[in-house]
Amino acid sequence: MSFRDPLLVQNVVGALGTALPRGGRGYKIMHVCGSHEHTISRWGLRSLLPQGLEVIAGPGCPVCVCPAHEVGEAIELVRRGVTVATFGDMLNLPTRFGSLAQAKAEGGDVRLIYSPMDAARLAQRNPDREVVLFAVGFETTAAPVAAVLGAGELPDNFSLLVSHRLTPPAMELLLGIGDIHIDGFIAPGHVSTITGSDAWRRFPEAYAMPVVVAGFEPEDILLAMLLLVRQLNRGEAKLENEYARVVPDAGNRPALAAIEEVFEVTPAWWRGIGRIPRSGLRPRRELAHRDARERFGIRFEADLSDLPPGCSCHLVMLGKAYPPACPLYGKKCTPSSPYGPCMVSQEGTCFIWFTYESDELSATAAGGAK
Amino acid sequence: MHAEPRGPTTLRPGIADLRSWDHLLLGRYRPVYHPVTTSCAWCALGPCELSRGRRGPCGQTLMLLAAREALMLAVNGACAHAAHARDVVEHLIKTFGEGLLLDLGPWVQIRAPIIQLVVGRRPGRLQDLLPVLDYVDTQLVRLAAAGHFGGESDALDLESKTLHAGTMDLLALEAADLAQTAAYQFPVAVADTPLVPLGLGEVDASKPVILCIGHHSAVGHRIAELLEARALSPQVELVGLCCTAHDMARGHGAAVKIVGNQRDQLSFIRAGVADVVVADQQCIRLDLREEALTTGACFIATSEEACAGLPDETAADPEALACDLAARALAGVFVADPDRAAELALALALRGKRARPRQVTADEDDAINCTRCFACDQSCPLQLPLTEAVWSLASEGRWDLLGGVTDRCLRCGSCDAACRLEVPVMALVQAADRRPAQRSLVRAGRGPISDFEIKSTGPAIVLGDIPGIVAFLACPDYPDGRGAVAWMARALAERGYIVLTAGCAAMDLAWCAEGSGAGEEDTPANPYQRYPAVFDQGGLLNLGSCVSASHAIGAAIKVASIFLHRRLAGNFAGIADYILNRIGMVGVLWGGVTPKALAASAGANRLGIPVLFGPQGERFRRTLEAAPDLAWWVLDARTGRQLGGTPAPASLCTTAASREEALVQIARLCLRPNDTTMGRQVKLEHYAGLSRELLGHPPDDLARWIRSAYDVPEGWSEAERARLLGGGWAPVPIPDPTLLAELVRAG
Amino acid sequence: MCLGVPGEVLSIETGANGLPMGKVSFGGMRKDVVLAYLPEVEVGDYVLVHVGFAISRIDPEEAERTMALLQELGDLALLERDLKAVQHLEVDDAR
Repeated sequence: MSFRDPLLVQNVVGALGTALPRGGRGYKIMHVCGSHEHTISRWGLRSLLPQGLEVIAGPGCPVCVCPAHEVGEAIELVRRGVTVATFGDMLNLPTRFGSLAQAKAEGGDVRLIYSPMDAARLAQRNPDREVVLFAVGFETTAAPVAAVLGAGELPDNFSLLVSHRLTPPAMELLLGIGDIHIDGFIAPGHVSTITGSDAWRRFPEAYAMPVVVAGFEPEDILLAMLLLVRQLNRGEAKLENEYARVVPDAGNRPALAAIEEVFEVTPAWWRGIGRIPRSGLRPRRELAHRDARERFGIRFEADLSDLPPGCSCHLVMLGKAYPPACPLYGKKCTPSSPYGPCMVSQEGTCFIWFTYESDELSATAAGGAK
Repeated sequence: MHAEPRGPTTLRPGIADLRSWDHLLLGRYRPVYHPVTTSCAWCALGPCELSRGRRGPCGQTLMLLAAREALMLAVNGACAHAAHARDVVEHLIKTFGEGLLLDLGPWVQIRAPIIQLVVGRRPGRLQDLLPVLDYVDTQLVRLAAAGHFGGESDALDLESKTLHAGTMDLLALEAADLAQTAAYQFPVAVADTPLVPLGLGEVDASKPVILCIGHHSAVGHRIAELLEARALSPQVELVGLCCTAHDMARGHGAAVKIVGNQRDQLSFIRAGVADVVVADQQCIRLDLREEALTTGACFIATSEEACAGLPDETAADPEALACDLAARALAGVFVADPDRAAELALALALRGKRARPRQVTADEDDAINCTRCFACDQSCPLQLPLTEAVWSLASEGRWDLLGGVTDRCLRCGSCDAACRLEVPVMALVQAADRRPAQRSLVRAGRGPISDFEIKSTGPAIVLGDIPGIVAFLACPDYPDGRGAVAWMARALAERGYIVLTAGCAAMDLAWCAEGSGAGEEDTPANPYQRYPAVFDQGGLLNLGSCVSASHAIGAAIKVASIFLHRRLAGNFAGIADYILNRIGMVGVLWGGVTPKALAASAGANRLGIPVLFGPQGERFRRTLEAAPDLAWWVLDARTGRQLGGTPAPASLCTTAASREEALVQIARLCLRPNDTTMGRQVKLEHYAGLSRELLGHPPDDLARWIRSAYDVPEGWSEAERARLLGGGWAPVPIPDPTLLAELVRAG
Repeated sequence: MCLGVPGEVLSIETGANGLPMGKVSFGGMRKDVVLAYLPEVEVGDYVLVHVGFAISRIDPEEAERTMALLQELGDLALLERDLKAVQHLEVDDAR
């Protein structure tokens, strides 16, 4: 069975066309997941949406929101002769400290890994080196990292530079700040496998904000939008789970337990946005020796030059602008020479737009945003 | 100077241009009038009795009278700040040149948020502040005109103009502090400004003492410079009282000593410690010259606003003048030039000590003449039970009743003036003060909040992890003792609120609250040492002098601006709407009594910041309370629906009767319609906690603040939860709140 | 980091690190996947894998249900077209 069947896509698009009230003010939906943006742009879904229905990306890219000073901490570790293992996207992230790619080019030992297990294995095979996993990602990645930390026989020379972020506080911040004018959320599908769809319950129940958890095939997104449009038409605010085939209501209990056991929740800096309380993780006190910041005595402070001058990532990440609105987009800032973080990661909104750019996308951008 | 693309509000609004916003605000927070007199004497037909619904011959009613008086008070206050700002700016232009860059360093890019918001310009150089002050001046003239005989006839329009006077006040504050911070290179947004000695006990009375008192620190700065340049600092003690002291300390750190604030004037002068008194403008006792001269001190008036009846010796050579004055018994002059006044003060001080204490000490014998006539009681502005206290000393040798009033006493000396038998009542009250010689430390003002701090803390403020920002400002005429604001500030900082302060209140924060003990081991009792001066949870920041209070307002504007990503210029209503609905900031003017205090509070109110006064605040003629009969609503900017709920903030300008009630009110006044679920939980924890702790019972409106089950603080019992969510309670969705229909998302 | 890929569990064993591991097939390509977070997984199940960890089991019945909903929308569209052809019948908005 396929969720990419063009006929099925047509079905949903047709239903959306019927469902969206004509001549009304339209609806604006926000998602907070780079992979959702990927699906939307890759399949040109925006061009299929009826006039007046908009979907915009919020802060859904953990690489993009990783603050410059934390990358700086990783680079500092590399300079001290530590082997730093991290996920591919982090390599080229530009900051005022340079990038990990530059540190590598200067002779530093930076390794790209697919799984946190790879980092543990690296430490096992290189007992004479200090190995640090620069752990970036939302809850979906935090759970595997927690498992590694909790596994038996973890070598002594292994620790974590944690830069995980939690999604719900950022969504609440968006609602608290206001002026974003979202009518509903598409909740991140894979974060929800860990947190459960229940993690989003407070949005419909306290904020009267409709939420639909969606999968990553084009039909998933379109169906989620249809469900949202129907709710909005009826003046309802519910939590619906379009991705029920994968997302359980209560989440993945062993994964949540592992995160709870190994990490504590802290305030965390989101690049371009600011310091959001209760939105980050760090190893618990008992595991201080696994916390690279404690182990190596490194703590950089955040500062003003979080984003380079002229960069509009803060607007893109908060869903206040589409990438083409940035004067540097496609000119000074491209995937081959990224200026701001959103152009670096596979999950970055600007990267995704640039990769799949077409006239239709530009037209959407011209008509949308703000 | 950079001009910005505009928002929808008129730039440089006239006195009626923000009327629709004012009426929107005043419709929800209606003026409640507290007339202090029932007769009007504003024209030569009066006094006309207006009680019982009478109308005066000009059509005046009691309510209109109160509204008009509030306007004229606010105008007076704003004029005081505007004149002071002009003095500062013009003096700095003369000293440093009009092209001086208003640079506050890389951490503060939004240098003048209030000016940017109202005038639509970003001042880049000193000269750019003059058009701002010109605009302020013209507005104040018009506002005063509106209060003339047969002028504004509608109470709400009078209130609207009072709010406009408030806006002018804030512009003046910001202009003044921006100018002096840039010119004198005061510290900007740093946490570790020097701790400056504070209190009478810190002054080395063995040396000649120069006291600078007032607001304009030009002379004080000059004296400090001269002392340093001529290596005379070890020989002369330079001290300050009031705002000028704050600004001198910001410029020279611990080289200056701060004696205290407006309340300490009389007692310090009578102590005979100050040999040369340099006075400029505003908040100076009208009998200070007299009191100073009778102790033998020299008195130099330096502001044309306050010539004090003294001969003008501006043109005289300072050395020669000093020679001449030193020989005189009553040595008072008026010198308008700050540099010359500084030279004169220094020259006089170098001639040695000359002042003698007067009426400072008192013992049982001094009470002998008391006949228990109650004249002192009647003259006391706080109506302290002085007569019984003095009588009990005279007849039974008891000091305890005097000890009971000593802390609350404002040291104003009215009792002395009232006593026909020359009993030194104030000295007796002072003598009962068992506290050790007054010495403390206050952190030098740190000026504005940096853009970085705003960004860093903004989300926590919006999410409610920081339950509120509370600014303790204005005069020190507290109804309940000198330690009141320190007590409140500590309680709030302990709970994670951000505490800001400036001016007179900032000095009082340095005194440990009674009953707080000496502090635990390793925890300093002085709030300035205990809480870091960072704009973050549990931080306590002295912004500086009264004009630095503009930075508290500026911080609120900056939070709005940084989140809204919207231009400030021409967006007054939009920004005020945002602050009103989303930023939990409260101004506490616990001892506020001067017209300046009213003006600043009106300015804050118009921008959506509620203000809490002590009980005497009603004497500003009106408070602004949530309209009880109004079905309270906000618009949900998402859907355009009107959503009901509990008024938040609960009022805009109000009073509390006691410090305990005040703290509970403060916590409540930090609640906002957009509080996230977590934020509401945190704020309610504090509101309920403070109410239980201080008033002995939980607040009775608690259930009204619960919008959904997610608002009930997690730690509360099932029984409590059931009680709150039971009865007639029904959930209300959390809005994306606005009062402005034009901000509702259009189709 | 949200990229999760579905695969079929071919076998389950305990890994050297003490964690339950599985051989998972992604359209023929086999990889070792940590199964620690799916204690009840069985051979033949389809799982979603992220950074080498199985984070959820794909429920075939739920998948069917979603598929059916999507198909139904198509049926409804056809129905609507037919209904519109009949002039004096009113068309309700889709459920």
